[in-house]
Amino acid sequence: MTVSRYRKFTVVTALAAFAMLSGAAFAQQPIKIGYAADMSGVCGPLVDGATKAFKLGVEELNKSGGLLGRKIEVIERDTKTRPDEGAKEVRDLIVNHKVDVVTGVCSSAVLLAETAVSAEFKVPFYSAIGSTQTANIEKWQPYFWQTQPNALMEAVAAAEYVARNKNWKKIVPLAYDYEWGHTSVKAFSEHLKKLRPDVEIAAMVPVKLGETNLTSYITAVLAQKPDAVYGAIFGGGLVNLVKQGKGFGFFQQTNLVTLTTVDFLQSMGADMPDRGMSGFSRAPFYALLDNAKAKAFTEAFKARYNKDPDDWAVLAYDGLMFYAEAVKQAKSTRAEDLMKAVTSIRYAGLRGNMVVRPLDGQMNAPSWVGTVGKNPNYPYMVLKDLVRIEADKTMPTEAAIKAGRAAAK
Amino acid sequence: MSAPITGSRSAAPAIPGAIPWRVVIPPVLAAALMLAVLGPGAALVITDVLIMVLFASSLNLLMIYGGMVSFGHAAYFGLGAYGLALPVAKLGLPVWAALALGPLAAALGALVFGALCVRLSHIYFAMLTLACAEITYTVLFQAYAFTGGDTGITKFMAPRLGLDPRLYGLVVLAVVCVCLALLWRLVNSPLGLAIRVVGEEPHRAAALGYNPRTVQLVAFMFAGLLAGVAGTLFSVYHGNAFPDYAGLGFTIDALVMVVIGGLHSFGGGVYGAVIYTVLKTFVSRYVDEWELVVGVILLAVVLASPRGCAGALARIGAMLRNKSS
Amino acid sequence: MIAVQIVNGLMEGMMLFLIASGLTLIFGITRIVNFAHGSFYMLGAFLTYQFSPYLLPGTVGGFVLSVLAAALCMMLLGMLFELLVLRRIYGSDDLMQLIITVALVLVIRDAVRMIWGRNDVVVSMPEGLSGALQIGGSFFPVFQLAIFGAGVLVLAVMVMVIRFTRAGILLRAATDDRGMVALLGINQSLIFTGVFAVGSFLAGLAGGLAAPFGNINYLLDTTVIVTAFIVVVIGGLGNLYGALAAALAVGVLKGLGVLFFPRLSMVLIFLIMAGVLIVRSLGREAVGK
Repeated sequence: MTVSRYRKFTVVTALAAFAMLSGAAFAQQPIKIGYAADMSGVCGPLVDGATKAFKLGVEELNKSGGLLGRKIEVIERDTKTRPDEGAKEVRDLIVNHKVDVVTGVCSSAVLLAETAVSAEFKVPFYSAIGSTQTANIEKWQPYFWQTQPNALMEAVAAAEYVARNKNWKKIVPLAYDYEWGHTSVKAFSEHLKKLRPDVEIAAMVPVKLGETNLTSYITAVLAQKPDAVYGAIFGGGLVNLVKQGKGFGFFQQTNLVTLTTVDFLQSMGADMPDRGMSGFSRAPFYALLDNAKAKAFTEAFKARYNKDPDDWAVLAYDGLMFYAEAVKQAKSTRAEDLMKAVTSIRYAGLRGNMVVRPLDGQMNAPSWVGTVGKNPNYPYMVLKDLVRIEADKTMPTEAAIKAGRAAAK
Repeated sequence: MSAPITGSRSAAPAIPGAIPWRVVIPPVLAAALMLAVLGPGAALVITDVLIMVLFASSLNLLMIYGGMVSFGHAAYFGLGAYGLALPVAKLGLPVWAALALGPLAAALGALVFGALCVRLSHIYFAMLTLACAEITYTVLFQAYAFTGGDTGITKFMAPRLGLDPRLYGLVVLAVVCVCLALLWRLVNSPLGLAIRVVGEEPHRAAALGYNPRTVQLVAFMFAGLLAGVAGTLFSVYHGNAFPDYAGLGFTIDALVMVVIGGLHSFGGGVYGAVIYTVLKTFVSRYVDEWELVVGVILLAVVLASPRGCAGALARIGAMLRNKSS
Repeated sequence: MIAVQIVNGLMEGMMLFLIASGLTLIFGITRIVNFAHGSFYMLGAFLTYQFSPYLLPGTVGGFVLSVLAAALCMMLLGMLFELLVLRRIYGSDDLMQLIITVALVLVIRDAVRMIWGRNDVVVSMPEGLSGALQIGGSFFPVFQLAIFGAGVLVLAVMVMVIRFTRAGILLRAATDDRGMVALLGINQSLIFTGVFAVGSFLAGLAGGLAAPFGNINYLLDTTVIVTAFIVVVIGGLGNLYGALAAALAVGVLKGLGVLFFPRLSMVLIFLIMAGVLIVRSLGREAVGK
């Protein structure tokens, strides 16, 4: 054990050096944004486009003189899609780097861990991708807001879409077996029942998270002969569902209603079935092109990165610009002033005019629903016959929020 | 895996059982000093490292002395966290009272799973520990009405019991030192000897009158208990509990830490935890591909010195001593 | 409905066998637990994605060529790894060999992420295999049937090699008694390198064959290695027929599980393995070992 003495000293000294480096003081002048995102792990693919767009936005702001005449500095951290890492990074960003605001998160679990840290230190925190309604209801705190439809809102929008198809009488929900999946199916089923009491909604078929071979689920669903399948699935699992489903004649026998964001559309490309697919989307750039800001952003993104921006990219950029607008109106980055502005301003953004509700920090973000089909302008299929469903139809009511909070106590 | 790893190749201290104060006191003092002096931000990092030191040392006991490679050690870490969080969040127990329940839950889990696992050995033992951990993780993940599910349990207490990070760091330092001291006493006690013998040559141990299963189960429970303490400390540090704490991520972290630290000494858990946590925290900020860095370091450590960092430095130390003589 | 699930389960099981065969083969002969097996599978998928636009894209023949090319690359990589790294630590304890393969996993995963990025890549289904075959009232993907056929072919080739060739006799001898084989003057290192090469080839082959059926990203290695391990452990390490039986059983049980115990799907495979292991341990106790 005598040798370990040398080892312990060396390590301890190295540790001290690192610790001191990390505590080094930063200049107070720039506006610092802590970007704690899930770059590795299951959320990685989604965060990729978002980060690119976010950086583009920061550049644009800095080029036009920054915010309140101050340069914007972004400090990036990887949460590895682990809630403890997310909490740790956000704590470090706040305590050691004195960031003015935190954002970037995608996973619901990491979001909840980070929002607790934001509440602890009273530093503003917003989510442009992660969308759990728990952050608005049970675990809401006054320094939080989110700029895309939360899980409940999206499920309601999907139900609105399904309700319009009068010849769909039997629906089978297929969802990832975790909180988001269950919440989504529950909200979808409840709202659909209200709109169309004649529809039969079967019991949810739960899919193991991360499962690559979905064939048994596909056959189990098809055996029930549904008119439509509500798929609360995303990312790789959705790709698998479609690819494997094709082999079972899924899209000849029934319709799939699912999260059809642009990244999914892009990755499927020509392999996407040309019938039987429809879905909901959060910020499809191709539906926003008559908005001048959205058009400018899409062109800038394409010029820089040589691909069209996916929903996450649009959301990240829009979220950043909303923050910028709030800072401008508040004339400060101080938490109290900023949150007042956040919950009161009207923001003319890429998706139209947006406000954030003070009660739960939820922005009145719309959803888009439609059918998947070919579009000559793009090398991949997109949603056609698009309907924009406004938030006033989908946002949880004040009564529901208060009830949810009371139940959680 | 044809031969288990043994602890008997480590250098024995002069007086069996006595704590080597000359080796222990300087780093403990240094840690306390850094916690007091370097500010809350640094204290948060150091506390994280200390908790991992305990977690890795618990696995070190199991692997090095007991010869049992576990692929599911994070289960007890997670049980330690939820053993604290659930009673507070769901039953309204005060935090002070629930602090003991975390390690208790972990020890119970280790008893139940251990009783099943010690009937097997080598890769089969490892795979069964993996199954047990995955089942634990899944129960925590899926039973969201009861355990909060994948979105975890947050805001059930003020992080660090409301203490300043530096003060909490000192508390953690004290707890970890006590636990490591207990571990040291265990390893050098007759029971510790029994654990080592069973780990090295189970048939010989049986011939000597030990019941290998019982001895292994005791080692397993002790390791689980310490992992549970680490889990409880971690839950208090963050003020939350997530199913991830029982998941593969933390299990692999612990395995990598034990390996980096060298596979043949008591301090392996300590070195490995410090090196790995510092690497993970700081390297990942500057390098996207930090896992690659860890992989390369692992390869280098193992190839250059089959006995890990402790072994490498033992050789350097020996060379230095030869030079001076 | 149950019949459909069982048939589907068998097909899924054959895919699992393809994944597990290389792993159990390597362990059976060299006693190395190759954690990088999942990473080789993943690389096989990525390389297939890389090659397929250049080798008669869209056709079945082109697909087969891409897969074989990818598998050959993996074979070479495996041989290189064995020669350069594994050889040096054959003498030291098994834990070290395990750690080395884990280090390889980390290196490959980040290398894949650096080369191909974070996003999913998709291998197009070759035209000839993208249809559905109607059996009774249900449809089955032609692709899955083709993979089943491929699995049977691989199994047949392996069985023939093991039973009827000299190499096979050496393999069987080496599994039973390594020392004796060495005493007989057979070059053990050649056997080990050869086995590792074949195992890596099989991993790459499985990855490539499965590529058009699902999404491919840098996280694939973790899912695959856990599944592969479970199948191999259930079947008994080193036991090829055991791996086949285990793979088919797991596939069928999973299919039935979706129908009858849907919420258990996360743990089903672990419960099966735990059950098998515990029952085996009881058996050993009864025998008095």
